[in-house]
Amino acid sequence: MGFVAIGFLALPSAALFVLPHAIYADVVDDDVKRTGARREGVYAGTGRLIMRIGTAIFQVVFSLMLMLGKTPDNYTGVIVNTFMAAGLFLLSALVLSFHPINK
Amino acid sequence: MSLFVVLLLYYLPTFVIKSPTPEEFEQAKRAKADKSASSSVHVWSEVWHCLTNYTFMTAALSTNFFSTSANAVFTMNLPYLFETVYETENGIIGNLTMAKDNNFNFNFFFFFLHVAPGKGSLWMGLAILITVMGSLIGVPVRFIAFYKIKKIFLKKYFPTTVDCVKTSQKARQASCIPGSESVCGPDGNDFRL
Repeated sequence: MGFVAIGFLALPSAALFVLPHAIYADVVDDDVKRTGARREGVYAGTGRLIMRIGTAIFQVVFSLMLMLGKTPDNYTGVIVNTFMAAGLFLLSALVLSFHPINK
Repeated sequence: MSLFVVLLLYYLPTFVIKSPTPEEFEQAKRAKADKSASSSVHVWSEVWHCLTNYTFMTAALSTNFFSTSANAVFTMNLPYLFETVYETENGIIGNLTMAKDNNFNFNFFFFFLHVAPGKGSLWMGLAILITVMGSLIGVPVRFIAFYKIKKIFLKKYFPTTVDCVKTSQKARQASCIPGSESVCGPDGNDFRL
Protein backbone atom coordinates (compact mmCIF):
# COMPACT_ATOMS: atom_id res chain seq x y z
CA MET A 1 0.00 0.00 0.00
CA GLY A 2 2.87 2.32 0.79
CA PHE A 3 4.32 2.03 -2.70
CA VAL A 4 0.94 2.66 -4.30
CA ALA A 5 0.52 5.73 -2.13
CA ILE A 6 3.98 6.97 -3.11
CA GLY A 7 3.16 6.50 -6.78
CA PHE A 8 -0.11 8.34 -6.55
CA LEU A 9 1.24 11.18 -4.44
CA ALA A 10 4.66 11.74 -5.95
CA LEU A 11 3.65 12.35 -9.54
CA PRO A 12 1.17 15.18 -8.94
CA SER A 13 3.62 16.69 -6.48
CA ALA A 14 6.33 16.63 -9.13
CA ALA A 15 4.02 18.54 -11.47
CA LEU A 16 3.32 21.01 -8.71
CA PHE A 17 7.01 21.77 -8.34
CA VAL A 18 7.90 21.83 -12.04
CA LEU A 19 5.02 23.57 -13.79
CA PRO A 20 4.95 26.88 -11.87
CA HIS A 21 8.44 27.72 -13.12
CA ALA A 22 7.40 27.17 -16.72
CA ILE A 23 4.29 29.29 -16.17
CA TYR A 24 6.30 32.10 -14.57
CA ALA A 25 8.72 32.13 -17.47
CA ASP A 26 5.80 32.77 -19.79
CA VAL A 27 4.37 35.43 -17.50
CA VAL A 28 7.68 37.29 -17.60
CA ASP A 29 7.92 36.90 -21.37
CA ASP A 30 4.41 38.21 -21.78
CA ASP A 31 5.19 41.20 -19.56
CA VAL A 32 8.36 41.96 -21.52
CA LYS A 33 6.39 41.82 -24.73
CA ARG A 34 3.82 44.29 -23.44
CA THR A 35 5.97 46.70 -21.46
CA GLY A 36 9.48 46.29 -22.86
CA ALA A 37 10.93 46.06 -19.35
CA ARG A 38 12.34 42.92 -17.76
CA ARG A 39 11.17 42.14 -14.25
CA GLU A 40 12.18 38.54 -13.58
CA GLY A 41 13.58 39.37 -10.16
CA VAL A 42 10.57 41.30 -8.98
CA TYR A 43 8.21 38.64 -10.27
CA ALA A 44 10.17 35.92 -8.51
CA GLY A 45 10.27 37.91 -5.27
CA THR A 46 6.58 38.81 -5.37
CA GLY A 47 5.65 35.23 -6.18
CA ARG A 48 7.68 34.00 -3.24
CA LEU A 49 6.05 36.59 -0.98
CA ILE A 50 2.58 35.40 -1.97
CA MET A 51 3.63 31.81 -1.37
CA ARG A 52 4.95 32.60 2.11
CA ILE A 53 1.75 34.39 3.06
CA GLY A 54 -0.35 31.43 1.92
CA THR A 55 1.80 28.87 3.67
CA ALA A 56 1.81 30.88 6.90
CA ILE A 57 -1.96 31.30 6.90
CA PHE A 58 -2.75 27.67 6.18
CA GLN A 59 -0.24 26.31 8.67
CA VAL A 60 -2.16 28.15 11.36
CA VAL A 61 -5.48 26.91 9.96
CA PHE A 62 -4.07 23.37 9.79
CA SER A 63 -3.06 23.47 13.45
CA LEU A 64 -6.44 24.86 14.46
CA MET A 65 -8.27 22.14 12.52
CA LEU A 66 -6.19 19.45 14.20
CA MET A 67 -7.65 20.58 17.49
CA LEU A 68 -10.94 19.06 16.32
CA GLY A 69 -9.35 15.64 16.73
CA LYS A 70 -6.14 13.87 15.80
CA THR A 71 -6.34 10.54 17.60
CA PRO A 72 -7.44 7.13 16.29
CA ASP A 73 -10.59 7.51 18.35
CA ASN A 74 -11.42 10.96 17.07
CA TYR A 75 -9.77 11.94 13.79
CA THR A 76 -12.21 14.65 12.68
CA GLY A 77 -9.46 17.25 12.39
CA VAL A 78 -7.35 15.00 10.18
CA ILE A 79 -10.26 14.37 7.83
CA VAL A 80 -11.12 18.09 7.74
CA ASN A 81 -7.52 18.90 6.85
CA THR A 82 -7.53 16.31 4.07
CA PHE A 83 -10.60 17.90 2.54
CA MET A 84 -9.17 21.36 3.10
CA ALA A 85 -6.07 20.38 1.11
CA ALA A 86 -8.24 18.96 -1.65
CA GLY A 87 -10.37 22.11 -1.64
CA LEU A 88 -7.29 24.31 -1.92
CA PHE A 89 -6.09 22.28 -4.89
CA LEU A 90 -9.48 22.72 -6.54
CA LEU A 91 -9.36 26.46 -5.85
CA SER A 92 -5.92 26.52 -7.39
CA ALA A 93 -7.23 24.79 -10.51
CA LEU A 94 -10.16 27.19 -10.64
CA VAL A 95 -7.93 30.25 -10.50
CA LEU A 96 -5.56 28.74 -13.03
CA SER A 97 -8.46 28.33 -15.44
CA PHE A 98 -8.57 32.14 -15.62
CA HIS A 99 -4.91 32.31 -16.59
CA PRO A 100 -4.78 34.01 -20.00
CA ILE A 101 -1.97 31.85 -21.39
CA ASN A 102 -3.89 28.60 -21.29
CA LYS A 103 -2.84 26.45 -24.23
CA MET B 1 57.23 55.72 18.86
CA SER B 2 54.24 53.45 18.49
CA LEU B 3 52.05 56.20 19.88
CA PHE B 4 53.38 58.53 17.23
CA VAL B 5 52.57 56.01 14.47
CA VAL B 6 49.07 55.52 15.80
CA LEU B 7 48.47 59.25 15.99
CA LEU B 8 49.89 59.70 12.51
CA LEU B 9 47.60 56.99 11.11
CA TYR B 10 44.68 58.50 12.94
CA TYR B 11 45.20 62.06 11.78
CA LEU B 12 46.72 61.39 8.38
CA PRO B 13 43.34 61.08 6.61
CA THR B 14 42.39 64.54 7.85
CA PHE B 15 45.38 65.95 5.97
CA VAL B 16 44.90 63.83 2.88
CA ILE B 17 41.12 63.94 2.55
CA LYS B 18 39.59 67.36 2.37
CA SER B 19 36.78 67.75 4.87
CA PRO B 20 33.48 68.76 3.28
CA THR B 21 32.08 72.15 4.02
CA PRO B 22 28.74 72.25 5.85
CA GLU B 23 27.01 73.10 2.56
CA GLU B 24 28.64 70.19 0.78
CA PHE B 25 27.77 67.93 3.66
CA GLU B 26 24.10 68.95 3.57
CA GLN B 27 24.01 68.58 -0.20
CA ALA B 28 25.47 65.07 -0.03
CA LYS B 29 23.03 64.18 2.73
CA ARG B 30 20.05 65.39 0.65
CA ALA B 31 21.29 63.55 -2.44
CA LYS B 32 21.65 60.34 -0.46
CA ALA B 33 18.16 60.69 1.00
CA ASP B 34 16.66 61.42 -2.44
CA LYS B 35 18.42 58.43 -3.96
CA SER B 36 17.27 56.17 -1.17
CA ALA B 37 13.68 57.39 -1.42
CA SER B 38 13.57 57.11 -5.20
CA SER B 39 14.97 53.57 -5.22
CA SER B 40 12.49 52.57 -2.53
CA VAL B 41 9.60 54.02 -4.52
CA HIS B 42 10.92 52.27 -7.60
CA VAL B 43 10.91 48.86 -5.91
CA TRP B 44 7.39 49.24 -4.60
CA SER B 45 6.10 50.49 -7.91
CA GLU B 46 7.61 47.40 -9.51
CA VAL B 47 5.97 45.16 -6.93
CA TRP B 48 2.69 47.00 -7.51
CA HIS B 49 3.10 46.41 -11.22
CA CYS B 50 3.40 42.67 -10.52
CA LEU B 51 0.43 42.63 -8.18
CA THR B 52 -1.78 44.38 -10.72
CA ASN B 53 -0.70 42.12 -13.57
CA TYR B 54 -3.63 39.81 -14.20
CA THR B 55 -1.51 37.17 -15.92
CA PHE B 56 0.90 37.05 -13.01
CA MET B 57 -1.72 37.08 -10.29
CA THR B 58 -3.71 34.20 -11.76
CA ALA B 59 -0.49 32.19 -11.90
CA ALA B 60 0.71 33.31 -8.47
CA LEU B 61 -2.58 32.69 -6.68
CA SER B 62 -3.00 29.26 -8.21
CA THR B 63 0.55 27.96 -8.14
CA ASN B 64 1.95 29.81 -5.16
CA PHE B 65 -0.88 30.69 -2.85
CA PHE B 66 -3.41 27.89 -3.11
CA SER B 67 -1.54 24.88 -4.44
CA THR B 68 1.61 25.38 -2.37
CA SER B 69 -0.53 25.87 0.72
CA ALA B 70 -2.54 22.79 -0.21
CA ASN B 71 0.66 20.82 -0.62
CA ALA B 72 1.90 22.04 2.76
CA VAL B 73 -1.36 21.11 4.45
CA PHE B 74 -1.41 17.74 2.75
CA THR B 75 2.20 16.98 3.64
CA MET B 76 1.71 17.94 7.26
CA ASN B 77 -1.55 16.01 7.41
CA LEU B 78 -0.22 12.82 5.88
CA PRO B 79 1.44 11.41 9.00
CA TYR B 80 -1.71 12.04 11.01
CA LEU B 81 -3.78 10.46 8.27
CA PHE B 82 -1.76 7.27 8.26
CA GLU B 83 -1.44 7.19 12.00
CA THR B 84 -5.07 7.80 12.89
CA VAL B 85 -7.21 6.66 10.00
CA TYR B 86 -5.12 3.78 8.68
CA GLU B 87 -3.29 3.15 11.97
CA THR B 88 -0.02 2.49 10.17
CA GLU B 89 3.25 1.97 11.99
CA ASN B 90 5.11 5.14 12.81
CA GLY B 91 8.22 4.08 10.91
CA ILE B 92 6.59 4.26 7.52
CA ILE B 93 4.91 7.62 7.97
CA GLY B 94 7.97 9.81 7.68
CA ASN B 95 9.16 7.89 4.65
CA LEU B 96 5.84 8.23 2.91
CA THR B 97 5.78 11.94 3.60
CA MET B 98 9.23 12.38 2.16
CA ALA B 99 8.58 10.07 -0.75
CA LYS B 100 5.55 12.13 -1.72
CA ASP B 101 7.74 15.10 -2.52
CA ASN B 102 9.02 15.89 -5.93
CA ASN B 103 12.46 14.32 -5.68
CA PHE B 104 11.00 10.94 -6.35
CA ASN B 105 14.19 8.96 -6.69
CA PHE B 106 16.00 10.77 -3.90
CA ASN B 107 13.23 10.08 -1.45
CA PHE B 108 13.20 6.48 -2.46
CA PHE B 109 16.72 6.43 -1.10
CA PHE B 110 15.47 7.59 2.28
CA PHE B 111 12.68 5.10 2.11
CA PHE B 112 15.09 2.24 1.61
CA LEU B 113 17.47 3.74 4.10
CA HIS B 114 14.87 3.28 6.79
CA VAL B 115 13.91 -0.17 5.60
CA ALA B 116 17.50 -1.32 5.07
CA PRO B 117 18.70 -1.87 8.66
CA GLY B 118 18.22 -5.51 9.41
CA LYS B 119 17.34 -6.36 5.82
CA GLY B 120 20.89 -6.76 4.56
CA SER B 121 23.00 -4.96 2.03
CA LEU B 122 20.72 -5.85 -0.89
CA TRP B 123 18.22 -3.18 0.11
CA MET B 124 20.93 -0.62 0.57
CA GLY B 125 22.43 -1.49 -2.79
CA LEU B 126 19.02 -1.23 -4.41
CA ALA B 127 18.47 2.16 -2.80
CA ILE B 128 21.76 3.50 -4.08
CA LEU B 129 21.13 2.04 -7.54
CA ILE B 130 17.68 3.62 -7.78
CA THR B 131 19.02 6.95 -6.58
CA VAL B 132 21.90 7.03 -9.02
CA MET B 133 19.85 5.77 -11.97
CA GLY B 134 17.03 8.13 -11.12
CA SER B 135 19.39 11.08 -11.05
CA LEU B 136 21.07 10.08 -14.29
CA ILE B 137 17.76 9.63 -16.08
CA GLY B 138 15.89 12.42 -14.33
CA VAL B 139 18.12 15.35 -15.17
CA PRO B 140 18.11 15.02 -18.97
CA VAL B 141 14.42 14.08 -18.96
CA ARG B 142 13.53 17.23 -17.06
CA PHE B 143 15.74 19.33 -19.27
CA ILE B 144 14.25 17.92 -22.48
CA ALA B 145 10.70 18.22 -21.14
CA PHE B 146 11.22 21.83 -20.15
CA TYR B 147 12.85 22.66 -23.47
CA LYS B 148 10.00 21.03 -25.40
CA ILE B 149 7.39 22.87 -23.36
CA LYS B 150 9.11 26.17 -24.05
CA LYS B 151 9.37 25.44 -27.76
CA ILE B 152 5.68 24.56 -27.98
CA PHE B 153 4.73 27.76 -26.15
CA LEU B 154 6.97 29.82 -28.37
CA LYS B 155 5.62 28.35 -31.59
CA LYS B 156 2.03 28.76 -30.56
CA TYR B 157 2.03 32.11 -28.82
CA PHE B 158 5.13 33.94 -29.90
CA PRO B 159 5.52 33.20 -33.59
CA THR B 160 7.41 36.42 -34.13
CA THR B 161 10.07 35.18 -31.77
CA VAL B 162 10.49 31.92 -33.63
CA ASP B 163 10.64 33.74 -36.92
CA CYS B 164 13.14 36.08 -35.41
CA VAL B 165 15.34 33.21 -34.33
CA LYS B 166 15.24 31.69 -37.77
CA THR B 167 16.48 34.83 -39.45
CA SER B 168 20.11 35.76 -39.57
CA GLN B 169 21.84 37.73 -36.87
CA LYS B 170 22.09 40.79 -39.08
CA ALA B 171 18.43 40.64 -40.03
CA ARG B 172 17.51 40.22 -36.41
CA GLN B 173 19.48 43.24 -35.39
CA ALA B 174 17.72 45.22 -38.06
CA SER B 175 14.20 43.94 -37.40
CA CYS B 176 14.06 43.38 -33.67
CA ILE B 177 13.17 46.59 -31.93
CA PRO B 178 12.69 46.51 -28.15
CA GLY B 179 9.14 47.35 -27.20
CA SER B 180 7.75 46.32 -30.57
CA GLU B 181 5.84 43.13 -31.27
CA SER B 182 9.11 41.31 -31.31
CA VAL B 183 10.56 40.25 -28.00
CA CYS B 184 14.17 40.14 -29.08
CA GLY B 185 16.77 41.92 -27.01
CA PRO B 186 18.33 45.21 -28.03
CA ASP B 187 21.28 43.39 -29.57
CA GLY B 188 18.98 41.28 -31.71
CA ASN B 189 19.38 38.15 -29.63
CA ASP B 190 16.33 36.34 -28.46
CA PHE B 191 16.92 36.13 -24.75
CA ARG B 192 14.33 33.42 -24.18
CA LEU B 193 16.07 30.62 -25.99
